Amino acid sequence: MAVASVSALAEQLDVSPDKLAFLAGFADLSALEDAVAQALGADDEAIHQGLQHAVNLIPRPLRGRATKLLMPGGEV
Amino acid sequence: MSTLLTRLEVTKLADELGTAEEPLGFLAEATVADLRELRALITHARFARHERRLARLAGLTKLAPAALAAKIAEHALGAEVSARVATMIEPADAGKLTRHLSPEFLTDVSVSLDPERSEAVITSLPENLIVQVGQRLMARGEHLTLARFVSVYSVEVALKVLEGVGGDDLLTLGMFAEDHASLDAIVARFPDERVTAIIEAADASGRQEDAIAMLSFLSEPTRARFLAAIGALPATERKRFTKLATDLGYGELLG
Repeated sequence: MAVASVSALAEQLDVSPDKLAFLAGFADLSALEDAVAQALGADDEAIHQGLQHAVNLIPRPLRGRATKLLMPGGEV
Repeated sequence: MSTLLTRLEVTKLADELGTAEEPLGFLAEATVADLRELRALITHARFARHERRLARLAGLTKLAPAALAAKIAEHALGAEVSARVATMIEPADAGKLTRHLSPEFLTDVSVSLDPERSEAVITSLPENLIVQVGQRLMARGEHLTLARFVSVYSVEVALKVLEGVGGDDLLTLGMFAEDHASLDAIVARFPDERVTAIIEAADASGRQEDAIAMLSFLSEPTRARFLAAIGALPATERKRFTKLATDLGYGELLG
C-alpha cells in the first residue's frame, strides 16, 4: 500500500518515485497525498481565475494583445 | 533533538501546503534531510506546474504600464499568484511595479514568496520598503515567512526589521530559520540584553527545547554568549536546561 501511495504522490509531484523512497516506510500516506492534492488544486484554481480576471481588468485598447499573450490559442 | 528538528520541518511542510500540522505528524519519524527534500520537491512542483502561465502573466509587466500591472496584481491575481509571478519578473520591472502596490498587499505577497527564486527581485527593492514589509510580517506573527527570508535580507536589514522584537518572537524566528549561517550572522550582532531576553523568554514559557534547537544552529562563539545567559539563570532553571539538552542528546551544546 505504501509503495502505491509513493507512486501516486510521485505522479502528483511529477518526480521519480525514487526521490520519495523514504516515504515507503510509512503505512498510510493518504494525509500527505490529500494535502498535496488540495494545494495543487488551489493553485490551479487561483491561476486560472487570475488569468481570466487579469484580461477583464485590461482596458479595451490593450485587451486583444493581452489576451494573445495570456491565453495563446485560447489556452488558459 | 532529531524529534524536535523533524517536528520543525513538519511545521514548515504544513505551512508550504497550507494545511494543518496534525495530519502530517507521522512524518516526524523521517529525517530532517528527507523532509527538507520533500518540501523542496513540493515547492518546485507547485511552481513548475504553471511555469508557462506565470511567465505569460509576468509578460504583462512589459505590455501594460506599471500602474495597470499593479492593479492587475492586486485585484485580479491576488497575493499568492502575484508571489509566483514575482519570481519571473525582471528586478527593474518589479521595482517599478512595487511603487504602485500598497505595503499591505506586498506583505500578503511576501507570505507566499519563494525567497530563493525571488532573491534578485527582493534585493533590488528599496531598503526602507523591505524593512517596512518585514516589520508588518513580524506584527502579523508570520515567523515562518520571516525565517525563510533570513538568507535574503542583509544583516543590517534584518536588524532593522527586528528592532523592538521581544525574546519570545526572536526565539521562534531563530528556531525556524532556514539558513543557519545567516541566522548566526544576525544573532552575533545582538547586544547581550537581547541574548538574555531570548533565554529568559525560553525559560519563562517552558520553551527550553526550542532554545536548544536554536543553539544547535549557531556557531561556537555565538552559542557561548547564550551559554553565559543560561549560566546566569537561577540554579534550578539552569539545571533544567542542562538536563533537557543531555536527554535530547545535545549535552555537549551546554558544555
